[in-house]
Amino acid sequence: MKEAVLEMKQESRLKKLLRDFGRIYTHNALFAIGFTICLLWVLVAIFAPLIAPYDPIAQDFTQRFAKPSAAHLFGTDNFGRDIFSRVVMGSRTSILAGFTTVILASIFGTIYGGIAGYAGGVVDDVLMRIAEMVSAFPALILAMVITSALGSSLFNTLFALVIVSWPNYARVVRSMVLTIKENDYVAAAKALGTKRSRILLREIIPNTIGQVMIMATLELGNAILNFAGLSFLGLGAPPPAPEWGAMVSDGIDYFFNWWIPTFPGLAILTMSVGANLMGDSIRDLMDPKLRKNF
Amino acid sequence: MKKLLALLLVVAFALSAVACSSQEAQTEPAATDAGTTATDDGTQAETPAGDAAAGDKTLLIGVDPDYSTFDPAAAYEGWAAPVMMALYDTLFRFDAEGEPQPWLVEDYTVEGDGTVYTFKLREDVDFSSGNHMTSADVKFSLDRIKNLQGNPSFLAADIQSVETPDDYTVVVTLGNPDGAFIYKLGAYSFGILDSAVVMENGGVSDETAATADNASQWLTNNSAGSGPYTLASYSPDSQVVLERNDNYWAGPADAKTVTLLDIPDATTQAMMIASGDLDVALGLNADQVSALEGNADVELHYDGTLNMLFLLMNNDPAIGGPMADPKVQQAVRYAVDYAGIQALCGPGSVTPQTIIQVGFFGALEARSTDYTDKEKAKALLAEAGYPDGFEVTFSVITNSTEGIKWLDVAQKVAADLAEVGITANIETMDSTVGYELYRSGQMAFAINAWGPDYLDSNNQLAFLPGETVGLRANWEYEDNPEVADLGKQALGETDPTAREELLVQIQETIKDNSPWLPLAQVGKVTAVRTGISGADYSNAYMIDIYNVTKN
Repeated sequence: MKEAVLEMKQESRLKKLLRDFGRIYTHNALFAIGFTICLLWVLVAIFAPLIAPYDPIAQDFTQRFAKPSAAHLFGTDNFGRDIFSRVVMGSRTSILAGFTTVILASIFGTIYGGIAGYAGGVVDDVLMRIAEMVSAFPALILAMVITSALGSSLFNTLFALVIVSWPNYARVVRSMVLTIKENDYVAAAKALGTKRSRILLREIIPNTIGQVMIMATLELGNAILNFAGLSFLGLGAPPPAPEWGAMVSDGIDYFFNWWIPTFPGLAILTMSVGANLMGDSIRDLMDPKLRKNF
Repeated sequence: MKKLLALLLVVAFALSAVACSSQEAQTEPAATDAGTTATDDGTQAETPAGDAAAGDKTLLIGVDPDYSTFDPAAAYEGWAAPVMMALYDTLFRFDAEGEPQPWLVEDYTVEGDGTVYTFKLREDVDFSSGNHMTSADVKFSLDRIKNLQGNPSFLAADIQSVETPDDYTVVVTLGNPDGAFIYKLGAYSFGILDSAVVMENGGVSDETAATADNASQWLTNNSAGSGPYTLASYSPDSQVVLERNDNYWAGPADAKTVTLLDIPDATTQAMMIASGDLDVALGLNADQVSALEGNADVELHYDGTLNMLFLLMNNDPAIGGPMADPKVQQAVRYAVDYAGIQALCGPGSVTPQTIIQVGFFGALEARSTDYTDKEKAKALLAEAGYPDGFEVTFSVITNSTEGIKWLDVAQKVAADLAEVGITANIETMDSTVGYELYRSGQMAFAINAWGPDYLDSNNQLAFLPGETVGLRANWEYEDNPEVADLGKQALGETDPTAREELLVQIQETIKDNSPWLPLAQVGKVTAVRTGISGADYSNAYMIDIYNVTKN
């Protein structure tokens, strides 16, 4: 009986979420633009091998520095590689990096913050001081240190990005848990003798998920931009893997062949603007003081 | 919202940058109206004084330098060469063919099995201070470079004694015969100092020099030579200003003032020379100057250099794995597309067959680009037991040579190797980590570069088995004792004919059998404004400022 009630509750939650989404999409232009851009990039990433006309790492020395044309939409680079194909295939790494970072960091941060907030006392103090220590470092610098210490590879770069972004989630979740744990239903669960871990996972954390998801959307743009930054500095996957940041960095040596850095640069720009618009408008909507368009 | 604003700014900036660059390309022939252009980027360079009164000409040279001192006995940076050769004279000077010719020396003889050199000095040489040059100055300078124990001191390490029987005779005794001694004396490190002035400023030349000498600091901001120019000022990371020595013994130089502007960004240099804010731009690379082609006011010179990019294939199976197999090493030699590598390295680049660069005494001619043969490479790999290829880590230090990024060349090599089945996984590392691994012989497969310490083939014999560089590929003496012994013989041979024979014999043996694969001697592009002549690239001095004239 109790299970059935929960199912119903969850289903109505999902419905409400979809309804809210529909309303936001039709009523808020910024959100609609941001969401559409992101959706387009996700589609590009999914169908990348079908869209890209050339092998992104195939070199053709007869076609070096070709200007944008019908054969090479975005031109070619100093190895004669097709920039359009590289930008399209590069979307996979960028999106993978953005989502993986956000998902892993939010899961870890939520559990960490939840434990700190629910346990309280010395445990809370110790856990939160550790989180503060990590967030005291500038994110990009810390990520650079971690990546260069571990060696540059895609996995290490993602690891570094997760390390620098989880404390944000932990802080927010902890402060939410501090209020939630005073609620009557938590007290009731306690009175029934429910295990502490179960209370935390079934009663408290589910109530933080909405806020965490908003944060995650906001952080998505940051994660993509940070990843591009690290890859620009040569700390992403080793070449010849197509990565937007690395392509811009290679391209600045060929300033007069403007198409080499410009197109991957525009890709980074649209993707992070899209994610930021989406995140910003959702945050505005959730903030009662700013909620006008809703 | 702040983030959004910032991003919009970035868009605006990016678009305007694109607009500017395409406009630059279109209007470039018109943009030569020298004095009036190009201050919007903040580079407020002096207006070129092409129309100044004859005799008061100034010369502006754009460089991306590495120098930090102008003390001949302490400086050891490539970019110091053009400055040092303007400030100091050497006993020998390299001609256009790269052969040392007597300069401060009138005549010389070699005796005692090639260990005793007697130099007769010119008698008409005055320093810029007015002091007259005598054999005492030469002795002071040679002793000081040996005893200061600075970076270039190894060049003079074998000098046993310097005697001065009279004012214009110097007798140098070496510990061992050295066929390259005259070539070494052409290096700027052997610039002759005005001993009186240097001693006044704390200079010491005897055995205590390493600790007692205090002149290096003074020599960084002042000069004490007999060269065509004197050092007017040196502002690190900004500029070096040279003032003409009007009493130069070989006749005064053309330009009164020469300024070397420190401009690390090649694109900025290209734009400045296009608009006439520079007379000579040295810090460019071939792929970046495309926008200057067709500009009637700028001439582009493409030259070869002695700076060589090469592959290391570790000879120790425990480190190199398959790469230690001579058959695999030869397969790699067949697999690389030399024409493509040369395209990356710019016009003027050539591929030497061995570790002795084309242009050096006794060097074999360049490797033909037809050498590439993927079928032979595959056959050799199969013979070596790798019919399906293998995987290897390709260590690449994020460094560059004359503007050519090692990583770019490495990507080309990796693509070529992929075609014959070898998967070379590029691993990038910065130079602090990378050089440590390279010097200790820990890299399985790597790209690196070599610029000669002095302009003679003997310098290159360090790559032979058992020698300093050879050991970085774990090429031990026992791996090829014949070649190692030939190398030792060549080092001590002073008769040119015999030396050449030895060098050719060494190269013929190792050209298809060694852990080294020279990829290319990179090209160098120099851009000069029309009316400037004599600014040709020289391996010894990069640019010989004394020869540059301006119309």
